[in-house]
Amino acid sequence: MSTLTARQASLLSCHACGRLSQGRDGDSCPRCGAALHGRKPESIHRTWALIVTASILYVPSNILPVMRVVSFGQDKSDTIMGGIIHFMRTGSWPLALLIFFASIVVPVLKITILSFLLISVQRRWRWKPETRTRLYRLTVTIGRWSMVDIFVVTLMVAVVSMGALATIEPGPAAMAFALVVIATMLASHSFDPRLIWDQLESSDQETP
Amino acid sequence: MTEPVQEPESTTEAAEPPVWTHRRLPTVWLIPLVATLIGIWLAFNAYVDKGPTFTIAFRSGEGLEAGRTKIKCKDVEVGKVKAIRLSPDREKVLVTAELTRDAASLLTGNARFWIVRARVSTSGVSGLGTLLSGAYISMDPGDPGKPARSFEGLEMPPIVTSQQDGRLFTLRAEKLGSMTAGSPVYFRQIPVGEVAGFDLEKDGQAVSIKVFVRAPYDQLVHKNTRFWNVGGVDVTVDTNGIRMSSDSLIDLLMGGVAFENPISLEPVQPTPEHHVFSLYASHDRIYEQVYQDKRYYVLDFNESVRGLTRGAPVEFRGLKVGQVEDLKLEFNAQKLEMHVPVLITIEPERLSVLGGGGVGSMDAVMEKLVARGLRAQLKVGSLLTGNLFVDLDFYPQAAPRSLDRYGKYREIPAIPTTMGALISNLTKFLDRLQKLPLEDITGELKTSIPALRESLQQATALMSRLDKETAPQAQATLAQAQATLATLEKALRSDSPVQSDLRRALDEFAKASRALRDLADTLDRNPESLLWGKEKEK
Repeated sequence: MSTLTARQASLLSCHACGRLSQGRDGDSCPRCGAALHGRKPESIHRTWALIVTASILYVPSNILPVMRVVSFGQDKSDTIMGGIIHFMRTGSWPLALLIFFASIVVPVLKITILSFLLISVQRRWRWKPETRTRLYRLTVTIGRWSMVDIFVVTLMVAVVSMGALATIEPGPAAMAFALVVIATMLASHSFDPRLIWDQLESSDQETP
Repeated sequence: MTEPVQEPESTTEAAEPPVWTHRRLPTVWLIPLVATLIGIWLAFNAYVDKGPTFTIAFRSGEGLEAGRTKIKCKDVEVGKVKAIRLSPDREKVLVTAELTRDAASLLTGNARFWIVRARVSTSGVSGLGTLLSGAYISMDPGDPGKPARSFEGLEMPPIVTSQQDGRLFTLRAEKLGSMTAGSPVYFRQIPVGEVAGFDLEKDGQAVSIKVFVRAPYDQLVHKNTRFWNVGGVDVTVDTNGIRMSSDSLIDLLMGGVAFENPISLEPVQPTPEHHVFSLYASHDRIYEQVYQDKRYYVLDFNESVRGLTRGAPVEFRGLKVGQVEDLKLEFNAQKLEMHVPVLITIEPERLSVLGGGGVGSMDAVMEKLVARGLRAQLKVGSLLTGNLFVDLDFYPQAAPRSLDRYGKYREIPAIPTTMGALISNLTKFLDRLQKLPLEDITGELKTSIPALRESLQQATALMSRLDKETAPQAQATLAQAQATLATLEKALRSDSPVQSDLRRALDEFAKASRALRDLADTLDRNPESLLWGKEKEK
């Protein structure tokens, strides 16, 4: 590749205002005063840490009950998967699919994609950088939709509060699951997609 | 652009993969560390909280749901049903449940489990809450004991749980009556407990009933306490006549047990452990003690024993000393004789022996008593029912007999009934009455009656004549007589002239007689004076 990159030109883009200025890591932006970084600082570390956190929290979020429904003296606690199975059994297939997608598939997908991207960067793979960038964009886009489950729980808790007739309380898994979603979102934000391309760049420079 | 390019290259080196060779891990790794710690803590908690798993066998799994049904102790959730399956022999429903960690110590061999459902019974409505919440399994931990993991579920909620203070007592009864588990126990008509359950004794000879008496009433139960059955209508026909007794309507339906501490000469003693009380059939019976020591004797009545039944009392001078146990008809083929041997029991404990101590050898004593004239006799207890009882008494004038052997028993000699003697006398009298020539007598009577009537008529006529003719005359005569009597009375009165005249006359008469005596005297002394006259005074 013969194109000159900003990095090669010693140009750093400000994360805050986007101004391109010449300098080194740690310099401050001449316009807004924000610290300048060539790449997101400790990107791989942070992403890994957050992904590990998310993976750890993912376990209790699926084992513990996410919602506790007390109706007519009947106490009923459901895990996420239990709720999905319940909806499936009662015939609400679209709802079951939606929750399954938002609560199970998306977090797993995000963690998997980010892990794959991180590994690919660390191993200096050169495999289809465009696809990988697209995958990254996907994780950023769908990330927030995992919160659907939490929204449902919070809404239900607020709406269904009829004393002895029916009460809904959030279970411990709701908190864990919210943390999983937050962790994955932060992880996808702390990951710098430019690292995918850095590898190609450096190898380009090495090869010639 | 060589220089500037080189420089970023070095910066890239610093920012790029070599992160893994970094000596110090960035602080960001604290996040997963904290998450892991929290995870481990949660897992540890979950592990620590995980209580023991156990199985309960129920006859039916109605209302139970795996993962939903709770196990409650004193209405506090202590566990949850994990799985429900059929036992391999398909007889039972095996419920696998898990108890919370803190409740694990409750899981002993004494723990009992039952399913709480809505129940409507004579003793009330219970478990209404389960209509909405669904059934749950209730647990009674019972007394501390050895840990157990396998239980038999109760079909009915137990009457007595370890949550209640009180005591269980065992009663022994001949039959259950109208009693059921949950029937009340009364003390002076105050409900103080419940019948906890009943069971047939191993030999099938009696019913063993467990009653629970709540604190503080359990203190009222002593060794001498008498329990009796208050349930149902008790109709008794015995030598005392017909009696009918019943308690309240509820008791009639449900049955029940009442107890009382009879005022007796026996000292008040606390109930010993495993003491078995007798359950008397009625309140009247509680004063009849149950005696353990029984002596059997045979009585041979050579007469009808109609009206004598098993259980009829054997009395001595009106006090019960035993009862009739058995009676049968025996035929002696050689002598062609019929006998009615009656087996009786005599309970020596009923006798209080003066100076303490026992009776001694009962047979020896009995032998002496028989020698002194002790005889058995059938007597009518109730004229209404014709029930007989056996009366023992001394008949010194009876023919001397001894205490014979009758099979393995001893025989107390019997004398015929007074009633039997009376009846035979009466029969004889009737026979004689029958022999009278009643027809002849009546024939004669028939002929004499008209004559009798005639004479009667004559007598009547005579009477009327008398009445008509004689009566007025008689009346006149009577009046005259009355007048005469009045005159006579007047004449005889002391102040009447007749009387004074009479007195005077009598005086004169006395004077005259005195003068006559003087004359006689003078004549006696001087008879010449009759010739010469009166001698002159010298």
